[in-house]
Amino acid sequence: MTLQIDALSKRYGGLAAVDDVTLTARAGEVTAVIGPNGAGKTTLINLISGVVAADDGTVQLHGRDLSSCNATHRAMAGLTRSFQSPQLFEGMTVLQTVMVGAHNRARSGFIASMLRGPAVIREEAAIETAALQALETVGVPASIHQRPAHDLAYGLQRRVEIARTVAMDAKAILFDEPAAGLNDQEVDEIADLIQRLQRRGTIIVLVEHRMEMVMRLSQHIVVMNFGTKIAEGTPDEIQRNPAVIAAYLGTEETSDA
Amino acid sequence: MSAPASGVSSYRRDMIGIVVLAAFVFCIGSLASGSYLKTMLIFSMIYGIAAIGLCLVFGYGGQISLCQGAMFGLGAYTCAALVQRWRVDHLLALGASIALPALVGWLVARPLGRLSSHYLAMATLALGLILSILFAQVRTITGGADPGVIDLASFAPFGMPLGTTSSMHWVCGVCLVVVMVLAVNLINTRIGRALRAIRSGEVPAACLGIDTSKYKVDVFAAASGLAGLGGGLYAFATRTFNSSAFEIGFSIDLLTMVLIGSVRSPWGAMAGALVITVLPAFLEHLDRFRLLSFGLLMTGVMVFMPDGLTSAAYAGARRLVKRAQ
Amino acid sequence: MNQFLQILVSGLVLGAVYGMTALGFGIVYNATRVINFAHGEFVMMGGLITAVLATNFHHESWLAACEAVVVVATLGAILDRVIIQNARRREHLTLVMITISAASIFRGLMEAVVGRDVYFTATFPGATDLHVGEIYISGQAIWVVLTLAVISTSLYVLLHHTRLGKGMRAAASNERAARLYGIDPGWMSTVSYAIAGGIGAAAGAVIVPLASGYYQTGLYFGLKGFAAAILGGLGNPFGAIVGGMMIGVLENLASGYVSSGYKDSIALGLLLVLLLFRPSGLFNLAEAKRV
Repeated sequence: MTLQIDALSKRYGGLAAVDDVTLTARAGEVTAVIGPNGAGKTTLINLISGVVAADDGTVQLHGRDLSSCNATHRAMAGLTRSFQSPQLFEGMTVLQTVMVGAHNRARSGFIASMLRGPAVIREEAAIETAALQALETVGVPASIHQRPAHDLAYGLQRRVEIARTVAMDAKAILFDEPAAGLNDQEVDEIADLIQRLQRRGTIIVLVEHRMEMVMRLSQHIVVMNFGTKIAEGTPDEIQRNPAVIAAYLGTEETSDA
Repeated sequence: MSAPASGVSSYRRDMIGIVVLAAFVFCIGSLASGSYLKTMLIFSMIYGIAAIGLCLVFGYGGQISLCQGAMFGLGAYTCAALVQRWRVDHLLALGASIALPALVGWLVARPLGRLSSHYLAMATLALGLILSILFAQVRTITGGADPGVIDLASFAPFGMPLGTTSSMHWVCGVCLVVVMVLAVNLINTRIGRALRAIRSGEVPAACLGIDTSKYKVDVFAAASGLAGLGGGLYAFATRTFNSSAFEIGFSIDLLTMVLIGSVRSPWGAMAGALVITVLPAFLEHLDRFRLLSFGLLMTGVMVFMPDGLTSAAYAGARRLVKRAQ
Repeated sequence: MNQFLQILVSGLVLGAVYGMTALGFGIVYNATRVINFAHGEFVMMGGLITAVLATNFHHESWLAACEAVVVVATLGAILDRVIIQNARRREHLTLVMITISAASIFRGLMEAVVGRDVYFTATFPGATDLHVGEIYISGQAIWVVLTLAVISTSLYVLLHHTRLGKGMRAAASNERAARLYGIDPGWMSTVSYAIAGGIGAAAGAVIVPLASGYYQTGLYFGLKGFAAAILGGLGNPFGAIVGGMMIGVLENLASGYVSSGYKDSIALGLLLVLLLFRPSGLFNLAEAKRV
C-alpha cells in the first residue's frame, strides 16, 4: 500500500519549481520531506494533491493512477492534505467543519437533500457519528464542539483541521508544516496525533521545518533543494549526509519560498 | 432514527419557523377583507421565493449573481407564452417556468464557475443585461416594452379558478412554505455544509473530496429555477406586464433583499423581500430617492455588517440577552 | 464602401470613449486589485453633469466638462476614502458587493438630484464638422480624439516620470515594501480612484454631445469599458485603448449591418465570451484571474 510519485515536475517560466522528483511513501510509515526555504516542498505537496497541475510525472495511490485527476477526485480516492495555516471554514462550528470531512460517506444528491427523506436522515446521523469519532481521536473535547471553529486557539484549530481528514478516512495525508506557529507542547501533541494516524495504517507525508519532530517521527526522509531530490534515507543517514548539511548551511543564496 | 444532534438546534428552530410561517399565511388568508394587504404580501412572497434562491447561490455557493432578475423574467415570459400562445395548462406552465430558467442556469453555470468573484459578477451582469435586451427586442414572443404581455388568463390549473387575490395568496403562500422547507432542508444537510465550505475556500473543500464545480452549478440552477417560479407566479399575479419589469435594477433589488436580510439565511432573504416590497408603499416621497437610499443602505450593510442587516441585528440581540443574564 | 467607412469612423470615435473608460478600470485595478463596478457611473456622471451645467446653468460646455471632471474625481476619492478603505479587511466577495452598491449610490444620486430626463448638448465650440469625401465627421469627434491623446500622454508621463506615478506603481507592485519607502498605499489608492474618476468623467463629458446624458447609461459604459479592458488585458493601458477601439467598431458594424436594437448586446456578448474563454485578453500581460 503506497503513494508512488514518479518524475513529478513543474516549471514556472524558466524556473523548475519541482524537477523530476520521485519518492515512495508507504502505509504505516511517516515519510518526511525537508529542505531549505524555496526548495519546492509546498509546490510538491500542491502537485501531489492535485491543487496545481504538474507538467510531467505520475502520482499513484495503492496502484491507482491519479495523475489526470483533479484535487477533488484525488481526495475522493483517499488522498488529502493539510495547509500551512489551518483552512477552517468561515462561520461553521467545530463539529460542522469536521462533518464536512465526512461528506463523501453519504450519497444523497441535491434534490434528495431538499426533500430530506429517511435515507438522508440516516446519512446525516452517520456523518455526525463519524465526525464525533474523529474529534475524539484527535482529542478535541465535546465542550467546544459547538463553538465557531475560528474562535479556537491555534493549536486546537490545527487539530480540528486534522480531525477533518480523519473523518474522511483518508488513505494518504500530506501534512504541509503542521507544526508551524505552535508552541513546544502543542508540537508534541500534534506529533503524537500523527503517530496515531500512522499506526492506523495511513500513508503520511510530512513537510516540516522542526527537525526534532521530523527526526523523531519519520522512518524515511527525502531532502529537496532547488526543486530536486538531493538525498533520501533514514533519519540517521540524512543527519550524516554531507550534501544535506551543505544545503542547509551552505553559503549559496537560496531564494525565498 | 434520530435527527443529528448538532443540526438539531438550528434545524428545530427552522422547523418552528416554518410552522410559524405557515400559520401566518393561514391567518392572513383567512381574513375576509384586506385585499391591499394581501396583494402586498403576494408580491413579497413572490420576490421572497426569488430572494431565497439568490441567498442559496450567494450565501452558500459564494457566487454573486446579478442575473437573478433576468431568470425571473425568463420564468414569467415562459409561463405567459405557454398559456397565451399554446393554451398549456396553467400548472404545467408554472412547472415550465421553473424548468426553463433552471436549464439555462445549469448551462451557463459550468463555464461561469471557473471565474473569480468579480469576473463572475461582471459575467452575470452582462448575461442579465443581454437577457433584458432580448426581452425588449424579441417582441413576437414577449411583446417587448410596449405593449408587453396583456391580460394573461387568470390562474386556473386544471380549470380550478384560483385567480382571485385571496386564492393567489394561498397559492403563493403554499409555494413559499414549500420553497422554505426545501431550502432549510438543503442547508441542514451535507450539501448545504459543502456549499458553505466552497464559499469559504474552494481549495480546502476540493481537497476533502467535494465536487466544487458540480455543486456550484447545481445551486446556480436551483436558484435560477426558484427565480423562474417567482416569475411564473408574478405572471399570474399581475396578468399584465412588460419587459421594463425585469431590467437590471430588479436584479440589484433582489440582491439588496438578501443583503438586508441575511446572507446565509433564507429567513433573512424573506424578511428583506418583505421590507423592500412594503417600504416604498409607506414612504410616498421615496420614489425619486429610492435608488439612492437603497444604494446607501446596501453599502452601509456591506461595510459594517457583511453578513446582512438582520443577522447582525439578531447577533446584537443575542449579545444583549447574554449581558442581561 | 462609404457606408462602411462612415461606420468605421463613428466606431473609432465611440471606441476612443470605451478605451478611456477601460483605462480607468485599469488604473484602479493596478493600484488595488479591485474591479470598480462604479466606474461606469463615473462616465455617466461626467456626461450628465456636463449636460446639466451647460443646459440648465448655461455654462460654456468645455467649462462644464472641466467642472464635471473635478466633481467626479472628488466623488471617486470619497468613494475610496470613506467606503472602500473602511472595508479593506473584508473578504473579496464583500468588496465586489460594495463597489456594486456604490454604483447604485451614484446612479441614485443622479436620479435624485438631476432627475430622469435625458439631456442633450451641442458640439463643444472650437471644432467644426468635417466632410472627408462623402464621410461626415462630427466636430465632437475631434474633441474626443484630442481628449484621448491628452489623457494617454498625461497618464504615461504621470506613471513613468513623476514621483506620484512611481509611487502608485510601487504600491501596486508590493504594498509592504512601498510602505517601507514612505509611500502610503491608502493615499495611492485614493489618488487612483480620483484619477480614474477624472478620466471616466472626461470620457463621458466629451461624448455627451453625441450620446446624450441620462442617469441609466452608467451600466452600459461600465460593461463595455470593462469588455475593452479585458480584451486588451486588464491593467494594460495600450491594450485598453486598442480594445476600446475594437469594441466601438464592432458595435457600430453590428448596429449598421445587423440591427440597432441589439447593438448593446454585441459588446456584452463579446464580454461574456472573453470572460468565459480568454480572460487574459489579447495582449496577455495581465494574469487570468482564476479561482
